[in-house]
Amino acid sequence: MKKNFTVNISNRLFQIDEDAYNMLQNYINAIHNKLKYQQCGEETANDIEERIAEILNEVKTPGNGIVTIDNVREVIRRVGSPEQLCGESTATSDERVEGTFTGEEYNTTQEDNTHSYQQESSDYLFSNLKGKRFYRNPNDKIIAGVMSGLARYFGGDVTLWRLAAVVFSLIFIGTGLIAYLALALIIPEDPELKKNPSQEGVKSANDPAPVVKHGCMATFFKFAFIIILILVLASFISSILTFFGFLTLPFFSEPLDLGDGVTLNVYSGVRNTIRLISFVLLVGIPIYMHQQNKKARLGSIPPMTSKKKNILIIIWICMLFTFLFTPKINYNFQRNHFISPKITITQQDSNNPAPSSDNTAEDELDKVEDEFDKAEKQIDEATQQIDKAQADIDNATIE
Amino acid sequence: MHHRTIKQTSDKQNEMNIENAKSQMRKGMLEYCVLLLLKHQPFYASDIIQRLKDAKLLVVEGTLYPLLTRLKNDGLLTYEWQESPQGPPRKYYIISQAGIDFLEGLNAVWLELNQTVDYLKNN
Repeated sequence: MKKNFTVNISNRLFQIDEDAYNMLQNYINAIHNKLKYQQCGEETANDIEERIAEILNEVKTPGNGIVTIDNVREVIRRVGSPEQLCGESTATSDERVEGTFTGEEYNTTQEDNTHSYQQESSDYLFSNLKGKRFYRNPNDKIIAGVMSGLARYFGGDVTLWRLAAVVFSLIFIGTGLIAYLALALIIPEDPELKKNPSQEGVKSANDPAPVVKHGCMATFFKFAFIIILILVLASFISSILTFFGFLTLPFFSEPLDLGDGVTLNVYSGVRNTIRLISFVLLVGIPIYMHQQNKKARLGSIPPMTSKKKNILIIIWICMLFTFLFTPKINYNFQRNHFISPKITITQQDSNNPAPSSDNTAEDELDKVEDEFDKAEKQIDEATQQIDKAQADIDNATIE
Repeated sequence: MHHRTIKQTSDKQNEMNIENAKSQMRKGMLEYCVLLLLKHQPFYASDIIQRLKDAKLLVVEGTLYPLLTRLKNDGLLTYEWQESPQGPPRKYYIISQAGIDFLEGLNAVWLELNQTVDYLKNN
């Protein structure tokens, strides 16, 4: 069962189902974005929207027909990609076969959330896994195109991979950057993409034989993989070790008076800030998603795309790990609270060897215990004396 | 694992190059042909698209609109809003005097090109 929207395209009303809505929305946005930098680009984009409305009128079921995703595909096929509109594509995707541009990249909603959004080109994807296409992608790069290459190899949205890389780097003390650098230096750029930049969207239609570098490719990939593995393991192990330094109260960076002369001193402002942020997101993301869900159910806004959902979920998981693995506060409470010399409890850094600080605390504890024992003895003596005196009095009274 | 033979690859390449050239020529022609159409009579955008498709000149509809905007900005054509019974008003494109003059020039260029090509073919 699908949701239905009423949309207004160039002053015409259409009933459209949710898949079609998402795809059309993405497509129209892409066109506006592409054209907005041109002179009168907004006007041109509006003209195109009008054309879209005309085509939809033609291709949908007559009368009260609902616009379906196939209708939207037809529209995209006929009107063309934003690059084609600006005359930026080469002939092979432009003129060769009408509608070589499928626009499937605008189809971001899934029935099945486990698939990547490049669902239509999944054949293309599985042929990748033979190890043929793990290259960097120089046409879609922010720094070096590593993430985009990974995304093409394993599937999934590039943005997702990039986000994951950044977050990974943040949590695991920057090791992600080292891994990225290694990949960027090792993995070569995709040779076909250098020739025909516009072929991105239509590779499945006209694919020349891939250039396979047999020995080199396999070795490079293994090498990179091993480096990453080592880094991940190292950072994971260090996180676990620090985790077992116990955790309680997180967020302070100044000595806290816990009463009865015990103070708590925490020296890690930065780590605590991170922990605070992760905690906020840990709580905030589910709340946000719940709110969005509620609103979407009421129909006031369309539901979150699964791309967005996936990103939020991944962030949440990272926050969970961050929250669990960052704090390290050691303390020992003395048992008897009314004999309380002043004890300053300092945070145990993972760099400091644990035994020494434990010893200091234990020594203090021993001291305290000694004093306690002494005091107990005194009390006992005193009690004895009192008893004795009492006995004397009793004796005296009796006599 | 399964490579095409070298010959097949280069045939494919050839095909692509021809299509490339065709597309370039078509792009150049589009402006000329739009003005030719409008010289006969004013048109709605959708009609222009239909005619160009019939003439096998236009493949991707979207390319027309930036062109129309550009021609309008250059003053070669203009438009007015026409009420239509089936919905909101639509743009009705009309060639301007400047456009007519420009078209004369283009006609001359076309003639020249034709002669050049004939000459090169036959000599």
